[in-house]
Amino acid sequence: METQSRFINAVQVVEFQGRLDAHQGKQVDQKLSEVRNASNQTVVNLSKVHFIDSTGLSVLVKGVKHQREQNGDLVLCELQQPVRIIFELTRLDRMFQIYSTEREAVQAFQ
Amino acid sequence: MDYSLLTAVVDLHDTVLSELAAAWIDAGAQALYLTDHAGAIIGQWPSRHMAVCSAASVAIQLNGECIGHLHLCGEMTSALLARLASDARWLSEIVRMEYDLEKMTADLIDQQDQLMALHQLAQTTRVDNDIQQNLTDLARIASQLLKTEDAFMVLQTDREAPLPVMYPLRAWWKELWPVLLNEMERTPEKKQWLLHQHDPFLTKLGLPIRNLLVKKLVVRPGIWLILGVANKIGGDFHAPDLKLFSTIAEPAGANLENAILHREILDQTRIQTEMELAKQVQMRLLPQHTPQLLGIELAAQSCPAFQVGGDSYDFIVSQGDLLTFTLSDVSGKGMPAALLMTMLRTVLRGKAVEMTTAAPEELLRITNESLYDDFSEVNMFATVFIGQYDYARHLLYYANDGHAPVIYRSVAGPAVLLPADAPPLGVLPINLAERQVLAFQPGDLLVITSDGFNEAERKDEEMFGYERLLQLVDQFATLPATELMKNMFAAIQDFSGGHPQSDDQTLLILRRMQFNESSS
Repeated sequence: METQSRFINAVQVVEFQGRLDAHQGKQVDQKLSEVRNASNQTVVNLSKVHFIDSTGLSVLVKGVKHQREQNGDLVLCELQQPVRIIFELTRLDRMFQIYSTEREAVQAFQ
Repeated sequence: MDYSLLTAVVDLHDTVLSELAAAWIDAGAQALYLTDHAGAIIGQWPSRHMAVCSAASVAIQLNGECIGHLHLCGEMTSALLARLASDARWLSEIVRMEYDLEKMTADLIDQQDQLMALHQLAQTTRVDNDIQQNLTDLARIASQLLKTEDAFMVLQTDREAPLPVMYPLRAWWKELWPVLLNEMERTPEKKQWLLHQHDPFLTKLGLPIRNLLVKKLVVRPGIWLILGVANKIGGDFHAPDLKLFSTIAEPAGANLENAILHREILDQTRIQTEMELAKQVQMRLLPQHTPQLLGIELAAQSCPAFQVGGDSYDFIVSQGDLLTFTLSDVSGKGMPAALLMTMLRTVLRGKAVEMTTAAPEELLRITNESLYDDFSEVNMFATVFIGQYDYARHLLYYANDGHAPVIYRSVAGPAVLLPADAPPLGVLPINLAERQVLAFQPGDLLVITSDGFNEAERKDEEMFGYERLLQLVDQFATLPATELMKNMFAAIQDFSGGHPQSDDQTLLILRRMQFNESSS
């Protein structure tokens, strides 16, 4: 899985690519715990993720729980339609702050 | 020098020596006799002659060293002396040949021993699967073959602690092997070490080791064998020892690999058996029969992707004409999911059996309270759908913690997805699920599947998806529930076209019968 991460105004932005599923779960988890160490404010850009399964969701849930324990947050942005549907159907959209653009997501922390 | 050789020659060649003496006596000599290196008589002809009058004696030599004398009694001339000297040389030659023969025999016996030991080496791992015993046997054989006082093995893997063995076991072994491992790690490119007496490394070690020969070989990626011998009996290691050591190392490594493979197969079989038992337990925890209730049809089935899985469904009929049914899917797969699924089932069932009025959201709230900490601890969650069907009034009460897809189809159609109203169980400490209610008309249908249905994949990674699932329900909506279930499983299997099932697939169907249908 290809990942990219960058700092924007003390907010750590992570971008995953492809499928966030059982095969990639460990790698995604590792990446998220790396960025957690750097900042308690994480934006996960899902613009290049076309599929997410329950393992992928559980890794993001772990991430958001951890950041909130640290008085921070993990927010999502730029969800593709199939991924958005999964968040809506499972009502995980009530758990996460979801933004349409990365800029909005970063600004939410300011 | 072996001084007993001359005595052996006298014994072995008694007849020839007697004939030699007879020729001398015929020629006028009184007697002929032989003494060893210390002067003791070891042969005399005629046998009863008191050999005290040596007129002449000539030395018998082996490899330039005097090992005895040939003596003659009687008158002596220079010609006779020359003949005696010639006989002595002839005797020396016989002794030398005997010496060579003995040496060759000893070599042959050695080689035979080596062959036997190598054969033993080849047999070692076939009869015993105890790796430690195998290593000890290999060390014993190495010490026999290389004629050393000590031999040892260390099996090193990248996953487990090293396994060191020594034959015979010495008190200083526990000091030696960590040093060796350290040294090997320090110089990973080095495959063999030969250390002679007074080597600084040995001196620094300060252990009773005169000389040391160690080899490191890769049994297979991730597994190394360190094979060593120390304290060569009667000297030092030479070129033939190094060659023999290599000859031993290879089959030792191969045999050890077999033993490891054998152990792995046994472990694998044990795990498979345990998994099979776990599967049977899990299957038994699913309802063995679907309840038969007036006016409704039920069907349910679960197919885990692996032997055990995180999907589960349940039916609980309680007082007050209430049927509680649940379908849950724990995130992740295999054994971790199966363990949590068992906990979830127990809590849900325990609470549901006590209920006489429908309150599915309450059931979810209590279950989330009981399990939230445990689920959070292992970073997992479960999507749970709870339906409570009042089969006297035909009202379906339900609450849904993050489960999808849930499909409702009124008799007129089309099939639609009923979204969840709260995130999955274990995600939030409080539960947000609310009670929903649907009045069920004759022919209305509820189909709940786990995501193993919509996420079923073809070879080209195209997923079955929600749209196809809804179409499928519309297509077979009028069939009896069990037929609809069979058709749905068959459609998923057709779609996957042999692509392996990667997630658990579970299906639960509730259908209110039409008035003209009768309960089966």
